Formats: sequence, structure tokens, C-alpha cells
Amino acid sequence: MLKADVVRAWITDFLASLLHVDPADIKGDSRFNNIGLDSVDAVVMAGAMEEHFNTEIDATLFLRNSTVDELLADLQANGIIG
Amino acid sequence: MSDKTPELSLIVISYEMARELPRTLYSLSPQYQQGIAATDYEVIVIDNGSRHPPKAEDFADLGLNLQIHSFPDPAPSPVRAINHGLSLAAAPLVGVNIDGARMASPGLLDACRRAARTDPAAVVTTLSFQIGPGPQWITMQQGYDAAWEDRLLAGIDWQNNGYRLFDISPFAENVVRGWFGPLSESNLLFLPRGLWQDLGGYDPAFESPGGGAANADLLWRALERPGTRQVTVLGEGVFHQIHGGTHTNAGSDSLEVNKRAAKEYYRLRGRIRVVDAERSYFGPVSRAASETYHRQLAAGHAAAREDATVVRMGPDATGRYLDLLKAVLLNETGLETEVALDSLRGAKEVPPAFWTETLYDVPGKLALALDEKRRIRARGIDTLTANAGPPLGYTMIGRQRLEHLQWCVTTALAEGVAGDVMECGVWRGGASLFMKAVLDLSGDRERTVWLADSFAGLPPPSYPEDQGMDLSREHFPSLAVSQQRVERAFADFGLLDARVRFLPGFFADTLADCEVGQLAVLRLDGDLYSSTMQALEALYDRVSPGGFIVIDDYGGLGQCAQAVDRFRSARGITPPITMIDWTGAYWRKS
Repeated sequence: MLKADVVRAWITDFLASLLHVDPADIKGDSRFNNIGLDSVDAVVMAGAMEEHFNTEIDATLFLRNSTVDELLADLQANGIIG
Repeated sequence: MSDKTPELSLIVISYEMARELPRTLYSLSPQYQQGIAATDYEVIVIDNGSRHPPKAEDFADLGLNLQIHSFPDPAPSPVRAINHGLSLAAAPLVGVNIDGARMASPGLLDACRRAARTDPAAVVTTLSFQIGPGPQWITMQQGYDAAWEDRLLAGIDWQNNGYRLFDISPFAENVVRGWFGPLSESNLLFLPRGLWQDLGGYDPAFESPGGGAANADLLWRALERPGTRQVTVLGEGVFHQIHGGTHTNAGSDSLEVNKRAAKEYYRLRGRIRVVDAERSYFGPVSRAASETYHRQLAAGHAAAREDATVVRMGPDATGRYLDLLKAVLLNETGLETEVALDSLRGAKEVPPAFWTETLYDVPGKLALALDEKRRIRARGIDTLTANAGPPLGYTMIGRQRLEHLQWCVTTALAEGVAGDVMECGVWRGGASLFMKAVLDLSGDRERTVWLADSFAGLPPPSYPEDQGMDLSREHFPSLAVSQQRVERAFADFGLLDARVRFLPGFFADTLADCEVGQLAVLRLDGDLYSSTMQALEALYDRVSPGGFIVIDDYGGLGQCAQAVDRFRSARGITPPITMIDWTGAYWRKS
């Protein structure tokens, strides 16, 4: 099972790189649509995360959450992170 | 065809596109492309394994410098087929249309050629649109198919004015980060031949069906190469026909397909970063293009087509009143509030900062969303848009259909077409309010505005054609608006008088024996097969010769179009249907 803080750090770096924003601007409760993330990006993030962590993640999980905190909680609820 | 070396080579990849490729090639032919001579360019089709590959002789009458080759070693990914095509290209400027289902606008080739001249290492990119009422991977799950698309294309006479493709293609595909943001890819792009060689063409490591992210990868690699410059062509575009494409038409599998493409890209490149370097935008936009294109880009504030509007915005009070009325009916003046509210959609609680900052956009972060909202409202595509609901205005038909409705009413008045005006399915009454205002302004004191509606939402589906389309109040409460509220709206605008008449009830119960006499304009906005058919059966014979029949959902809802097509066929109605925008259509009774 993946570690929550490792996944959080990866998501933050990934979003900062993808969206050309400062990682410090991506907080746990930042709303994805306010930092410029759309549904296509969310699915892209799912694919990258699968590859990076060598795991399987349902793409809809990335669409139904609107902040990093919510996404992490959902990943936890689905047994992907510990 | 000619011994002259072409200036442009365009590679087009086809795979099982018997329906789509003929349109694409027509759209690339000299009889359609403007400002470029037949000898200036060549088109090289590489067929990537179709069971019945296209044959060049079938396209001989296009006058196109055309080669068609069957790729000898076809694979699910088109990447090797593209590279094979690149090896055959003779011109100094070489383009790739990765998907032969993408039609071109009429000035595309010349604009790309001129854009390339602006920089020796130009990466010429184009904008992509999808034909039909929205992203095809979504609309196909709602019934959008080839027959539906054929209907839309038949309604715009695209062979003679290809810029009308913009009108039926409200979904811009590769501008996900805004019109002036970086493109996610370019589905048709041109590079100098030397740059293709430096890049080694497309990367064959992309083996996913459809090429996965190979196209985005090619663009990003080109842009990251020192000395290159992206030049995005404005005013032109490519338009995707539905064809079962791996990415565009994956339907409910779309999420998985896109996830796998991203995964492959990440595996090969180790990161995902949209390249966002400084770009140039190439104009000028041709006059023909500007009319339709500006409706997309400038949120409908460009001049409307001559045949679609009589009253233009001008210094006169009448024009200003109608323009302001349109803005208010569409809530264009309240979009900032709508955008702020949209930012709350899906939130589990309202953050305190919403009231103090977001609602007034103090941080200034909603400008992009506001621009997008303007564009959406102008096109009347709110209901197609994720993360938003129906507009907070009085109508959801968008500016283009309102302008057209104005033209219908003023033309009926000017030509003396006898009868009243009527709307069946009025929602909050905006379109009817507007017709009433146009009638009043003209000095008319005879004609009545009829509003037929249940004023309690749509009926649940009862016809087999409407199965699965339950738009009733239980599921869509925002579509149920009481007669009292609509009357109040007429009163609020100072437009309520005895010549505004209401026919409350489901169409099946109210229309057949209604008092309505002759009609000059009949506007149907009932969404369902049943509502559309019932209204046509009850009211069509009351429409005067020269009168207008406007169908709001013809392009947007398959079952509505089916009712119209069946009715017209049963009644032998021959005047052609013309699309107004992506969904509205009309014909005049002969």
C-alpha cells in the first residue's frame, strides 16, 4: 500500500508541473478547478499516477473529488494508500 | 498532375473511413480551399489497414494532387503510417492530419502556408472542433451518431460555405486551457521538412491504438526544440466527424483510453508538462470566417450574418433596446455572479471566503472562467457544459438563436406573412418575451404571442422514441417553471397585455383543439419526440405560406430530429432545413 505523504507530495509536484504553478500554491484544500485543473487533466493525472506507482486506479476517482485532500481520502477509502 | 514541386504536402491518415474521408478530401480540394492553387499542394493519404482501402480514382473529380497509399504494415497506432507518409512528401512544408475524419475550413491550407512564412522554424498549429452538440465521447452516449451528424451537415451547405462548420461545432477540442492558452495538441499541423527530419517524425514507441499521446508528444518535442516558434492559425479549423475513433469516439471507455494514453506518455517521457512557450497567432481572419468564427471566439459580439439578422446594433434606441433585452434575457450582464456560483458546484460546504472574496472575484481569478462563460452563453451551450446548470437568465437558447428569431419575426412583419407567433415549450419565457418585444416595437397591434407549456416541466417519456429521456420535473426541477412566473416576467419587462396568451397543459391535451388561428412564426422547443410530433401535427397546417418553423432541438436531441424528419417525410415537405447554430434549425413554409 502506498504512503499518503508520498502520494501527496507526488500529486503536488505533478500538478505544479502540469499547470505551471508554484507547488506552494497547491494546498490540500485548493479546489482543482480554481488552480486550472480540468477533467481531462484529472484523467491524465490518473494515468501518470498508475505508471509512477505501478498500481491500478479507476479514473472516475479523480473526477469525483475536487481537492487534494478529498482525493487522498478517497484513495485511502479505496485501499490504494494507507 | 503537374511537374511543379508543391509548396505544401499534407499527410492524411485513414482507417475505415468510407463515410468520412470523401468529405475530408473534398474539404482539402481546390474547389473548396480558397487562396491556394491546385498545383501549390499535394495530399498524401496513407490508409492504415482498412478492409476496403480508399482508391485514388474515386476522388479523380476533385482536381486534387492526390496520392493514396495502403500502408503495408498496418498497426493499431498510426504512427508508423504517418512516418511512411512523411517519407513520401515532396514539399518544403509538410503537414499531418493524423485523423482523416477531420474536415478543414476553406482557408486552412493557405493560412497555414502564410503562417509558416512568418518564421523559418514555424510550428504551425490549428484549432480543432468536434461536429455536433458537444464532445463526441459524451454525445455518442446520448445517441449522437453518423445519421445525426449527416443531418447537421446537410443543414449548413458546407460545400459552399465551409465556415458554417463552426456553427454546428460548438465544442473546441484542443483549447482546454482557454483560447490563448497552450494547445493540448494540434490535430493538423505543419512543420518545415527539415524540422520533421530533426525530430525523426512521430515516435514509434507510441504503440497505443490511435497513437495514444503521440500527437501531443510530437507537438511538445517540436516546441521544445531550440529556435522553433509556435504559430497558431486563427479563423480556420479542423472539424472532427464521428467515426468510432479510438480517442474522440471511445464513449464510456473514454476515461480509460485517455488514462492509458497518459500512462504510456509518462512511461516514455517520465513527466507530463504541457509546453507553454511564447506563441504567435496568425491572421488576418477572412471576412467569411470572421462572421462565424467570432461567434465562437468573441462570444457572439461579432456582426451576425446578413441573412440572419435585419436589425443590427446601432446608435438608434430601438437597436439598443433589443440588444440590451437580449443581454438581459441571456443574463449576459450577470455572468460574473454565475461564474462565482459555478465555483461552488460540487462543493460539500461553502467556504467562508466565498462571500467575502470569490463572489466579487477579489482575487481576480475568475476572468478565464468568465470569458468561457460568455462564449458558452452566446452559443447557448450551457446545458452541454459540465460543472454548470441552466443559465440564470430567461432563456437558454443563446444569442445566435435569439438573433435568428428576431430575423424571423421582422421578416414575417416586413413581408406581411399573416398570423400570430407561437412558442411551444417556453421554460422561463425568454424567447417569447423577445418576440413580443419585437412585435411591439414594430407598432403591431394585431398579432398575439402564444405560449404553450405544461408550466410544470416535461412529461415523462411515453413514446418508444423517447425511452430513456425522462426530463420530467422529478429529475429536472429547474425545467419546470410556473405560468405565474412567466407572466410575472412579461409584466416585469412591461410586455404583458391581452395579446400574450397562455395554453397551459401538456401538448397532447391542449394543442389539437386550441384557439390559435394562423401563425407566422412557430417555435418548437419541446425536446421530446412526442412533444415535437404533437405540436407539428396540431399546428403545422396553421402556419401561413412564407411562415417560419423553428426547431430548437433539431441538432441537439436525436429524438426531436426524428420527429421532424418523419413529419416532413409523411407530409412531403420539401423546403430544406437550415441549421441556425449547433442545435437550432428552421425552414419556411412554401
